[in-house]
Amino acid sequence: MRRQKQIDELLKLTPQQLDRRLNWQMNTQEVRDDHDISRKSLNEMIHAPYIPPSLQKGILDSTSGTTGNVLIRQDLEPTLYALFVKVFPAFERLAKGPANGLVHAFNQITTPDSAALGSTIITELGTVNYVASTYVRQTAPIAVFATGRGLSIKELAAVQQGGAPYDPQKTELTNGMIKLATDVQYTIMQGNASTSSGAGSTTELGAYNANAFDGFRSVLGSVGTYTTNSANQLDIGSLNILETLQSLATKGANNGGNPDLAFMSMNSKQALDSEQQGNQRYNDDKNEITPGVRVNQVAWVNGNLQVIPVPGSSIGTYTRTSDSATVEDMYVIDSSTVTVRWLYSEAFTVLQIPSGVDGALSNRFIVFGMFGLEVAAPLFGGKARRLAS
Amino acid sequence: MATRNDIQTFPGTAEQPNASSDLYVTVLFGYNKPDVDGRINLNKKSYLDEFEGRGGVFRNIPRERAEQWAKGLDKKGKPAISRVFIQAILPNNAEEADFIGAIGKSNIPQEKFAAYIKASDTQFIIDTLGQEGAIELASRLSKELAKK
Repeated sequence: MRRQKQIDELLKLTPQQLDRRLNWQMNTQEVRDDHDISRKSLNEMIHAPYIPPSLQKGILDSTSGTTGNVLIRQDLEPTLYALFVKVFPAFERLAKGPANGLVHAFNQITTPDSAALGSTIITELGTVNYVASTYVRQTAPIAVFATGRGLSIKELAAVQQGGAPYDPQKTELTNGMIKLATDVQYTIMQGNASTSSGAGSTTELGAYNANAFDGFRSVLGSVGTYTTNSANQLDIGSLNILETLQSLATKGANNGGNPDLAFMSMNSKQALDSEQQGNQRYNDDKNEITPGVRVNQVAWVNGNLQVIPVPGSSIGTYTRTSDSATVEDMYVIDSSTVTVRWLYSEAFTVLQIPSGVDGALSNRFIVFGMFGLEVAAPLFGGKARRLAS
Repeated sequence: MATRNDIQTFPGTAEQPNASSDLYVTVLFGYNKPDVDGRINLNKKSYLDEFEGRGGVFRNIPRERAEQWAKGLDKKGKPAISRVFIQAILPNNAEEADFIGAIGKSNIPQEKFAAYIKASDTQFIIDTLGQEGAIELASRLSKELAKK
């Protein structure tokens, strides 16, 4: 709770204010744990049930500052996390849950109930029919996202003594978080860890990486191992983007879902804004998805869709097999059925490597997180393919 | 249409699904195109705008909408924000043979098709195509062979 409160407070700050805070934290606090700042956090961590005893020992050792073990910088983590979420608000918007193994196993619903309408109605003393939904057992690999950042002690000293008003260490860590945000969102959108045959970044499967996990492009595209998962695919012909989102949400709802989230590229969001320019009064309905981050929401027949634009090439483009056109996706999902599964910690962990531990005079950090993606009911959502712009 | 006491009635004019009509058509989009895994899935469900299709065949499409798809126009007749490159617009009651005729190739791999023809009894071909169809095929084959 304390960490969450800290993050919520930090999210109210602008990226510039967060930068300044990180600068202050890194310059005013000792690199080592002399002020006992992380002791309480570590105490919480080592009593967490998911930390194995061998690792607890490693964490305890690092607090002494003499054994050469790494130090977990819990004090930096909330600020860096807030910076991460500013770059990728969808990560905060998606639910998180602990993974149940090296790969997370889960049931994916393909049909909620195949029995006829009214089949649950029985006579007063009739026999109740037992019916089960149809599931497919899926496994979501847990990918390790890690980046090492650091710089030489010489450079650190030179910048400080030269009087330049910046902290190169902080710059490195901030950029590291942006890179991690980019990679995590890229994998959530178009990751492919299950089908290598025919895969590639310009195909609907996405580029194959056995260490990643499957993202929305293939799971909602019903390709590769997902050909029978009943997700909806819609190609846009004459509809505009608003009508497309509404149409797709309706189809997800007809399958039993309640879609509430749409991911699209910045270009698609721009096209949506342009087409609705004349309807400004109806389309300026904003919703706060996480403290300080507000997004548009559009109405469909039975609810609202929060529209989250995804920057850069994370969603990407690929060749549509139907007509060989280059298209990009927009995803409509029922967020109650999508969970980011984690191992070790639901956010990123910052390790500080002791200076000179391997003989090199440098100050280094490793930022890492371990995540997978569970899409438990692809049929409750879907994707729309739009000619890439 | 009949008019009596200013009331218009339209007996027997309700549009029949899959009936040949000028108002509704069948559109081919992605028909006979293999998926990324190289397979042709004739039962794969997908949507073209709000219309559902199977294996790239979209039936009961208003002709006006099909023509908008073909020209890349939105519902108001202006350039659309996206487009699809459809393969053919056919009468609503078109069948598999018409689809193949429209796109110019069969679902069946060439070698399998050749083996199938070779193994077929000529009487079976005549029965399948009908007398006229068989004569037409024979004459087309003769013309093609004469060119070689």
